[in-house]
Amino acid sequence: MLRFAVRRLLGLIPTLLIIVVVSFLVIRLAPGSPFASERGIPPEVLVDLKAKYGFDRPLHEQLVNYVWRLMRGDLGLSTKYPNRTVNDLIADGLPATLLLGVCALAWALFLGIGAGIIGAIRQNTGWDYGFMTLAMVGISLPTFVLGPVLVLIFALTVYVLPPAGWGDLRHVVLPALTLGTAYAAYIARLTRAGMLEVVRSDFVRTARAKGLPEHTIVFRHMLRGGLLPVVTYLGPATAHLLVGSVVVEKIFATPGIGPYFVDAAFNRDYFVVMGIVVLESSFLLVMNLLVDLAYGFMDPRIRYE
Amino acid sequence: MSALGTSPTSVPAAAHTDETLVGVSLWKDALRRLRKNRMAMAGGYITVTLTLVSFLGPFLIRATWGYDYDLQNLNYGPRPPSAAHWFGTDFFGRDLLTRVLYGTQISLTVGLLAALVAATIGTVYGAVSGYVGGRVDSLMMRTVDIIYALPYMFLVIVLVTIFGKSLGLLFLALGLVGWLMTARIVRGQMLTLKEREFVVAARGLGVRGWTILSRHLIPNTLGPIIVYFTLTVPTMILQEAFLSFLGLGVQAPRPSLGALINDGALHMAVFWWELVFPGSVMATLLFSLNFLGDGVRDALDPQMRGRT
Repeated sequence: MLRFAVRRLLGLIPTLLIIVVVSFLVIRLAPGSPFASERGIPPEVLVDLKAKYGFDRPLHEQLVNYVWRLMRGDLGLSTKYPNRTVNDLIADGLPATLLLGVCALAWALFLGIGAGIIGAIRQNTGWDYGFMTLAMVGISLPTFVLGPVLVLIFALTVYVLPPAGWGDLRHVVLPALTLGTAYAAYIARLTRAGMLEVVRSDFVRTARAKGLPEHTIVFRHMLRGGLLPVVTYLGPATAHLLVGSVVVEKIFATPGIGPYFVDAAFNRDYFVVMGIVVLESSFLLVMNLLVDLAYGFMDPRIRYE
Repeated sequence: MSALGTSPTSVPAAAHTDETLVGVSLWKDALRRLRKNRMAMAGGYITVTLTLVSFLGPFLIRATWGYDYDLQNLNYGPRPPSAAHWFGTDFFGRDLLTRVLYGTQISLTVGLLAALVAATIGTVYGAVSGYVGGRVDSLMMRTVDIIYALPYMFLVIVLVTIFGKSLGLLFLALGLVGWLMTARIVRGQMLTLKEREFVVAARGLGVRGWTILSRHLIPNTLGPIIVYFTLTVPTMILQEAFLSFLGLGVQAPRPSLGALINDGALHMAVFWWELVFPGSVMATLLFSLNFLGDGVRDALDPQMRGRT
């Protein structure tokens, strides 16, 4: 098991390397320049600027340099925010983004799994239809509609929560609700489907025949098998949640890394874009690996070679 | 997702509830199941109505009141809904109903075209990869895996900045990024289909590879392709709205639902109608499309019922 995990972890490195190379080439071969928005730079200064960031070298050399520095944990310098390293920018934004992501995830799991279980064990009742219709509403309600509507209700009509900004925990509530609801809706549908899959299986019948109490059957036996599709979905979902939503952070003026990303892509702030891509891709790969490992705990029939 | 798709030869069980055992074609049977699904039918009707209204409405409004989506009336300014302006007016005194209808039109068009682009690329790519197999297949699928691991927003933003912010190329950018899942599904279908007798027979008769693909294999994967397509349209509409929300999509004065909602969110404390109307139209549109897509999936593929 441990050997499997370590081998898989090492296997991520080449994948990540390919991702770095591809996205480096994509962003660098896109037209535009990081200094295009600075008007009237004398050509001599431009030469100096390019030299400072190493843009005067041939592309392949820059790529090798980037990968080399990346391996030592150095993500490079921002061109938009002079004298700030990408490590700095990410370290500034990541705590807010992570906190928001964790809260949104907790909300999504709580609501999603709860609604899914009720939908499955009360299949074809009013509860089931109610929750599943709500889930569809959740999926269909984009964050940029839900967010402003929540602000309109909770911050501008009944003054219970701050509309935007960052500071204490009350600032996290609305963005986390906004970000987590769509995920909750998906999780509810997946949970319900997964539970229905095992509801008539032999091991559940055996558990009933043993006379186990209903809640033990639901939580110990059914949930373990029924949550497999949810776990699969959780891999990429967690990665996306933790790296944050550009839109939600924009709506609520959260000081996270999301807004940097769009700005950086616009301004061709190459190293910032690359830094965030590397961060998000590594999150995604690691999460998917954790999902694979979790299968073994959830379903005893799965064995690792 | 590999379990998607009904096998082309099996006749769906038409008799498990009622009537006699009569062979029904896959499509007829699917249509019958779709008709029975009230939520999906409601979704379908609402979608059709919204489409018709959004395409015809602006003409009627222009004929009746003379408004256009970019006709400003600065003396008028933002006003709440009234008999003359059912959805009110925006900051520049433009009729919000016209703008919402126009935006719906744009969102629907972009979503549909982007989903078509994605489905086409995904189908051809997946079919070739699965049919050719071997090293070509693993190379093509590794490529898909790598693109899949790249942050979606990164690719879309880069493509949008390469193509420029033109409406015509917006759907292309979305489609060029959104074909990966279709490719995987089609490839999976292809792997099992290509070993079937009818394909071996065709090959034995000397039919060429491309003809086998387009005549025999792709038509047999149409079920999953359509299912995925119907679920892609609302996703694409959502993506377009995201981009417009971030200012990367449709450019002013042209409205799209995402851009309208963005404006509305800015002014919502005072001019609530600017958020509420485009927001509800967007939610209704996505809601009905999602229900329709779900229904189509259940109808074409009863085994997948209830999955996401």
